[in-house]
This record gives sequence, C-alpha cells and structure tokens, in this order.
Amino acid sequence: MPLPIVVPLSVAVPLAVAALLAAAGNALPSLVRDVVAIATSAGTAALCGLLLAGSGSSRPVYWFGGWLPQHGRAIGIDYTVDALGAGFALLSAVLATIALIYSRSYFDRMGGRYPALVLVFVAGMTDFSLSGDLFNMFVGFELVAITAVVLTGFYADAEAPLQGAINFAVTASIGTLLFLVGIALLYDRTQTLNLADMGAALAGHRLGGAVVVAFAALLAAFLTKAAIAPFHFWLPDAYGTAPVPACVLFAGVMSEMGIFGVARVWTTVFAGAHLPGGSGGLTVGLCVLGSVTGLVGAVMAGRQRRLRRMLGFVTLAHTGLYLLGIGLLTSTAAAAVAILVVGDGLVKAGMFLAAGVAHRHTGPVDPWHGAGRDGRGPPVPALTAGGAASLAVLAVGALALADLPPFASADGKDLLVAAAGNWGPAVEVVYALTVIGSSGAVLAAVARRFRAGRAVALAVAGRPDDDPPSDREETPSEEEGRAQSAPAGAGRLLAPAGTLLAGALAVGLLPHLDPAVARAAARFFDRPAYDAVVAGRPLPALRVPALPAVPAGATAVDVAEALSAVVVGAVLASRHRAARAVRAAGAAATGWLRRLHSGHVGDQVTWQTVGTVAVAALAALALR
Amino acid sequence: MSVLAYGVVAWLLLIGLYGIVTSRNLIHLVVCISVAQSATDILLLEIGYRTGGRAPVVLDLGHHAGPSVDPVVQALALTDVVIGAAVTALLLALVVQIHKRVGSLDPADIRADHH
Repeated sequence: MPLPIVVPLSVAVPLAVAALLAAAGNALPSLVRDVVAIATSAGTAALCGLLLAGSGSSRPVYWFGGWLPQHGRAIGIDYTVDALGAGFALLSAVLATIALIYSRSYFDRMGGRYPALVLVFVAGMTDFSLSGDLFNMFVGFELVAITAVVLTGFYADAEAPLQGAINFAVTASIGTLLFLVGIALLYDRTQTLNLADMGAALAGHRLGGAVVVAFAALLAAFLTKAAIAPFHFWLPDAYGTAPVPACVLFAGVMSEMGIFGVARVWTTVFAGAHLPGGSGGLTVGLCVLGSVTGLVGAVMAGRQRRLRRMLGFVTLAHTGLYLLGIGLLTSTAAAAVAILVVGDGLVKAGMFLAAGVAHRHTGPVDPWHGAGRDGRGPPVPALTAGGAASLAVLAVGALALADLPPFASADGKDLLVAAAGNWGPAVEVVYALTVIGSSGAVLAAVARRFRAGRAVALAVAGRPDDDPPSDREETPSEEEGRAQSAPAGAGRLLAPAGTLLAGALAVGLLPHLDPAVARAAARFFDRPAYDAVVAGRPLPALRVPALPAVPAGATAVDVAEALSAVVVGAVLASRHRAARAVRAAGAAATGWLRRLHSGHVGDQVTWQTVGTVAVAALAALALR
Repeated sequence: MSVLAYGVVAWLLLIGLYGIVTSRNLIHLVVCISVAQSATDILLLEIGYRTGGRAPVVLDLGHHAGPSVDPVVQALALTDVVIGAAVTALLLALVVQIHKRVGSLDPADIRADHH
C-alpha cells in the first residue's frame, strides 16, 4: 500500500468504524461488534506499523485536502510522519487492541458504546502523534481527553468512578483552556498554525512576552495531561476508579501524551529561538518538576491499599522520570525516554491487567494486619491458582519497572544516565529512589496478599462446611456486578498480561535498539530538517550525536536497583517489629503529603493554578 | 490590541477559575468552566481583529478597500465552541449521575474511599 494513502487512513479507519459502531451498536450482536472493534484496532496498529517502517529514511508529509503550501507558507493541515510519532501511535493501537480483547473476557458484555470510545481514543492519539499543525494537535488532544473521561466514568453507578471522572474532567477542561490560550498567543505572533512555519518565524529571534506566556500555557496544559506535580492530583482518583482496560490505555499512552507534546512543541517551535541564557534554566525547571513528581509517586504508592490506585501512583512516578529525561533537551536523552515509554508502557499495561484479576481473586483491599478476620476490612478470599498467577505477573512487572536487566526499562535507564553527562549521578539517584520506592510498594502489596490468601486457604483446607465467601466489598460496584462471577477464566485474562510483559522483554533484547532509536530521536530534534520536510525541500544530512558509552557497571547497578526494590517490599510487608517501627515513622513523616491528596476538586484546581503560575515564572526566567 | 481587550480576557479567566475553586455546587462549577472557556474564545476573536476590517466574505472582497478580519481564528473559535459544548454536556451528565447516586451537588460531599 503506497505510504501517502496509509497516513490519512490510520486516523480515518478507526474514526469511521467508531461512528458505525456507535450508530449500529445496539442492533448488532455483541460478538460481532466486539470482533469488528478488535479487528479495526489491530488494523490501525498494522497501518501505524507500516508508517513506522516507512519513516526510517524519509519523512512522508501528507497535506489534507491537497492544500499544498503556497509561496513557501503552509495554508493547509499536514501530517508529518516521523519514527517517534509513528511509534507512539503504534503503541497506542497495540494497547487498545489488548484492552479490547481483555474487556471481552473481563466484562460479561462491553457496554454499547465502549468499543467505539476506545477506537476514537486511538484515532485521537494517532492524530496527536502525527500532526504537524498545532490546532490539529489540540483537536486530537481533546478527542483523547473526552473519551478518556467517558471511559473513566463508564460504569458510573458507584460513587467512586463518578468522583474520578468529575475531577479528571474539570482539570482536563482547564488544561484545554490553557492549550487554547497558548495557541491564540502563538498565532498572534507567528500568523500561522503550522508547527514548521511557527518554528521558522521564531528562529533566531528573542522571544517576546506574549510568546513566553504562550509557552507557559502550552507547558501547563501538557503537564496537566501528563499529571506532573502539582498538576497531578486528578490522576490517583481517575486511575483508582476507571475500569481496568481503560487504565491500560491511560497508563500506557495517555500520560505519555503530555510528555510527547512538550517534546514536539519544544523541538519544532521554540528550539530555534535565541535564548539569552541558553536552555539551561528550562532544563533545570523541567528536571526539578519531573524529579518531584517521581518522588511523590514513589512515596504515595507505598501508602496505598488499593492496587489500582497504587499502580496509578507508580505510573505517576514513571511519568515524572520521563519528564526528567525530556527536560534534558537533548536527542539522546529523548531516545532513552522513547525506549522507556515503550518498555515501561507495556509492563505497566500488563500490571494493570493482572491487577484486575488479582482484585477479583485476592480481594479488593490490601490486608495490612492479617487475613481480615479481626474485623478490619472485608474478609480475604482463599488463594486460588488464578490469584497466585496474577500476583506473580504483578511481581515480575514490578521487578521489570525496577530495571531488572533484560527488560527494556533497564536499557532505557542506562542510556538516560549516560546521556545526562555530568548530571548522570544525580539522575541515577533520583531514578533509583523513584523506582525502588514504587516497585517496592507493589512487591509489598503482592507479598501481603499472597500471605493472607495462603493463610486463609490453609485454614479453610480442612473445613468442608465453611460459609461461602461473603460480599467482597461493602459497596459492590456495578463493574463487579457485570464481571464474571466465577474465578475460572483467570488464564484467559492473564494471557494478555503475560504477552505484554514478554513484549517488554523482547524489546529489551532487540539488537541495535539504542542506535536505531537514537537516529529517530535525532531526526525528531532536528528543527531545520522538519522545516525542510514540510516545505518540500530536500532533507539536510542528519547528524546523529555519538551514543554515549554505557558505563561498565551499569548492569550491576540495575540488578542492585531491582534487589533494593525487593528489600523495600520486604520492609513494607514484614510483620517484624522493626519493620513496623520503620513503617510507622514513614507514615508519620509523610502524612501531610497524603492529606494533600484529598480528592476535592477545588483543591485540585487551586494546585493547578499555583502550578501554572510557577510554570509561567519558570518560562519568564528561563526564556528571556 | 488594547489593554481593555486583554483585560476582559484575563478577568473572565480569573473569575471562572475562582468560581471553580470555591464552588459549592457542581452545576455552578460547570458553568464557571464555560465562563472561562468564553474567555479563550474572546481572545481568539480579538487576535483576528483588524482595525477597520470587514467581515471576511469572499464574494465581497473585491468590492471594498481595506482589510478584512482574520477568518482563521473565527474557525478556531467555532471549533472551540463545539468542543466546549460537548465537554459541558459530558460534565453535566456526570453531575446528574452524581446527584442520583449521592443526593448532593456539593463537591465536598462526593468522597471516594481514600487511603
């Protein structure tokens, strides 16, 4: 299939099928509807794969409606396909396919519009990743935001999903406003919406006050979507209450979308401008924000009792690390972040799928103080094979996130530390603290559930006339009601999770991964080349910065990080007196942080406003 | 662009945000989001305005001298209005569900199970 046709099809196909499914959804039998949705999602993944393959040497540019640039100025909307954008779109389509397959087994039947929503989500992500026009990116951003809010509140019959959805919707709407303010001010200065033309208009000049405000507004909007502190308060509510397949999409691609947006807008529009102090100030600001987010995520993860909320904080922690990487503003660091996004994304998605199974098989809430028979919390069910398997998947996933060597995360982290040059040790320390804390929390939860479930199983083994397990939650949610009641079928649900973890391992084992991604990242960061491609001029020669040598001890450091995560997990799960004392001290020291995450929408918007002002101050100091 | 023009935009944005932060009623909160969104629409239209400009109707362009206002931002503003309508409808649907479930519209009353 010739490449020019594939580019618009990659967005048109999921949108068209989504419209058809939404219109005819209730008239079709659910199997037909689900199969069509899964096939479309897989087909979109195939199209994005074609784009990725075809964007290696050249960068196809597709002008919608045939509106080619006139007199050197863009008058239409274009998609400029580069490897990182196509790769990101491919990741979203793959995760959507897995989420739809999982949903088919997880829910008795997916609700009428659910598959259509997932397809629109994929279309929006593809549009955002490929687009070369800032307002078109805004439209893709909005499609993703709206469908994400609806997916969060989809089984909106219990109170918890509604609160997650409302907080998410309000903070996302404010992010939208800021995005639009940024677009308006940039249009005022550059008289164009095309990213390449904007970059050309700003290149070589000092940035005026309005443009700095525009940058701050765009940055605030993307950081809200990426859930970087202090814009992050919506994330634990949304992740804790959205259905598991939706969490797969959010953790895998939606948070990373904000990071991608920052990188895209910076490299195409602002990178060529004349910054009197260099970009060092901006780097420091972004890296500080990323580090704070990572540490907040790690600390809060250790305090959660519900697996999905905990995994939400783990996602938060890793997104902070991605911002830390992108904040270094070099193409090698961006290559490392790209590897991390793919590797971590697959692992996190697998962990969410396993968490869905674990929730059903080992109880919804962590048993901190034993098997729940002392009256604290709902009774813990006996450990089944499915439950044990899901806990094993979670444990492997946590170790992979903590940089266990063959997995892709270790590869990405080593490259990131090497790319940070003189800042390498500082980056290493922040990274290590974050992943050790967050993965340790997950391992502790796994250990606690395993221990409690086994205790119940052993106790129950000799008593044939036990009572049937009572309701697993005080307020059973609709989602549980629609889910399969029999614990059999864990295998079918865990197969996608295992596949995702195997995929992350495979990516980590790919030969020549680093140089290939570094080339793609160098192209991404090359603003004059982007400008030339869009204008139809021949591409200038690509200069790829030499890949920094990964230091010899890096693998040992990675293994040490994974082992440290195990140690932290042991401390958090242990019933030993010393461990309890450590936990109590930690809880006392971080209680203020926990109280900040109150879930009240007014508080969250206040923090968002404070964050926007802080980002504006950062932009003013760093860019003028 | 005059100070008054920027001032109106800033005022609407700030008053909308203030309303969201201090709101005690979710419907009031959704309307405050609409107020803040109207600020961005006004900003877009102001940016496209040209002094003495006429409406950018293609058929009229040959018949008068002088500038016409920028039509691109008008298209952006229309798109934003549509997006705003969709988001407002979505938020209000969620608010209706919350009221059905919780019986209250106060944001402080909808609290999920936190740890």
